Amino acid sequence: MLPYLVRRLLLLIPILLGVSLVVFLLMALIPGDTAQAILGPFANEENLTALRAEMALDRPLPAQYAAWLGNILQGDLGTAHSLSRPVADEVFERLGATLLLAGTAFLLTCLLGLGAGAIMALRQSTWVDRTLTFAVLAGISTPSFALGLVLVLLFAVWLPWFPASGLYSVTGDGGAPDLLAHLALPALTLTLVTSAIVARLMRGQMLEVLRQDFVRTARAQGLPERTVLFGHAFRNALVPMIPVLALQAGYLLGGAVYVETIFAWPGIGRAIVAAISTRDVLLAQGCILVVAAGYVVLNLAADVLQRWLDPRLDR
Amino acid sequence: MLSAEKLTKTYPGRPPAHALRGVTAAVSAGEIVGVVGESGSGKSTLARIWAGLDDATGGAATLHQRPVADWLARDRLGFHRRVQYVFQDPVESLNPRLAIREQLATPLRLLRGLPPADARDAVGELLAQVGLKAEHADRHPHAFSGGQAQRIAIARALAARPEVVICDEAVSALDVSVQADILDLLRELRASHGLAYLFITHDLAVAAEFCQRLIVLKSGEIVEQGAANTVLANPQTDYTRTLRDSVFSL
Repeated sequence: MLPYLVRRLLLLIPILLGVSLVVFLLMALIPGDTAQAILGPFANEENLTALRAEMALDRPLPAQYAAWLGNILQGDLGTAHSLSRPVADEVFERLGATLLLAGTAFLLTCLLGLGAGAIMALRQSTWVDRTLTFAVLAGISTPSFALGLVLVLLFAVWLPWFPASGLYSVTGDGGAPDLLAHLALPALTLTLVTSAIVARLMRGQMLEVLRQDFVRTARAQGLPERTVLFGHAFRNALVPMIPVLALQAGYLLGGAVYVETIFAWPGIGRAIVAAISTRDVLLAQGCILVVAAGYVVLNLAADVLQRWLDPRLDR
Repeated sequence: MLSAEKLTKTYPGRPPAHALRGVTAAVSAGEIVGVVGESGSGKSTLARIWAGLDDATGGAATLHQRPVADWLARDRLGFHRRVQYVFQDPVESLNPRLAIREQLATPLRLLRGLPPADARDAVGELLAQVGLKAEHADRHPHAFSGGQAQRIAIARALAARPEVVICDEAVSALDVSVQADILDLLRELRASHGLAYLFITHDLAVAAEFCQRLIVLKSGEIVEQGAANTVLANPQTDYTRTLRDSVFSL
């Protein structure tokens, strides 16, 4: 296990370098003049030239990338021109809000998705299975932004139970009740979509495991049905679900962009949208880099966890 | 000990599938009874109903004159203490995530009532009985060959100290030489533990070598049953003769 872990950690280095290159090129190759976008249409050539020099925009792309990467390796993500503050400060402040939202949605996804999937398998071909299958298909087919708008209409406009927006900081004065009230609708929006995907796949996994001989053996040994289902079937069905859950966690981390925008959640997704619309290249690069690195680390953690839980993979 | 009286099993569908049609048979204490027949003849269905893993549609499956369903409802552990099952695929019948020690300690704890620490210690003795070493206990199923895994599956069945072990194609997935080793092991265990076996197989050569009595099933019905030597030497139906000739003419 240890050699595998070391190998995977070493492999992280080229992967993260590749991620940084893609993130850099993504923003650097967008048509238009960054300096002009920052200073506005009435900026004179002298100011534009000075800003291009300050931001190293007048240098070739490889030199720009090398300078940007060098700064990142020293913990400097640059300065967000649209906010006049260090990108790192902005990213990590926003990251807390995103982690709260994504973490809540992820926990709910695990509970609802894995639970519903297991119930569907255990009640295969009954009305419970059919009803949940319908709900799951509806969840998979509905785009998160559309679902978010419907939930706003239902639970913020028609039934004013939850606020649709208005959270400025997760460490604000409102306390836990205010935070939970603001968290409810965006977390529910994300959860319904991701848990539908997880439930669909978990149903298949659970059905496959329930048909396997070791589950029948557990029954033939006289183990209580609850132990057979949860101790043997559920735990074995869970192992192949780990990469699926990691992908969903990655989606929640980065894919919450629409949801954060709809609910004005002060997270990293909304910061990316704002940075792109104001052409704040360094802020956009910093936000995307952190999300992409999180995605890579999540997948590594999932691989290691899966290998640890399933001894067959450790060969 | 184990008996079936006009046992039927029908799986719903269009048309319904009749897996068993009025099967009447019995296994006495210490006896080796083989159930043979082609695929789909109902051999495994009969085994599963006797093992309490499936319900009969009609008739009665009993253990010591008491219906299996009644055992399971009132004394489930008592039933599994007496009847154990060994599946065809030895590796698949072991939980891939659990070490062998844990898989063998469970029946020792549950069915023999040993305290957890004693159950874990007793695993080594159990492995020795099936020709494996105590250090094998800390490995996982994927680390074993098919023959070794089947020995572990047999050890797990023995942990309960059962009266009868139902072997459902228990040697079919193994090489011929390994088959012979496992059959020898089953014979030794029968001699030392006084076990009875219900031996489900499609392989008449194995049945001829191992079983004392044979039940021949065709499309869910018994077409012939009796002492193995008699059934094979003097088959009463064309079906049994065809089964026999297909093996012994080779």
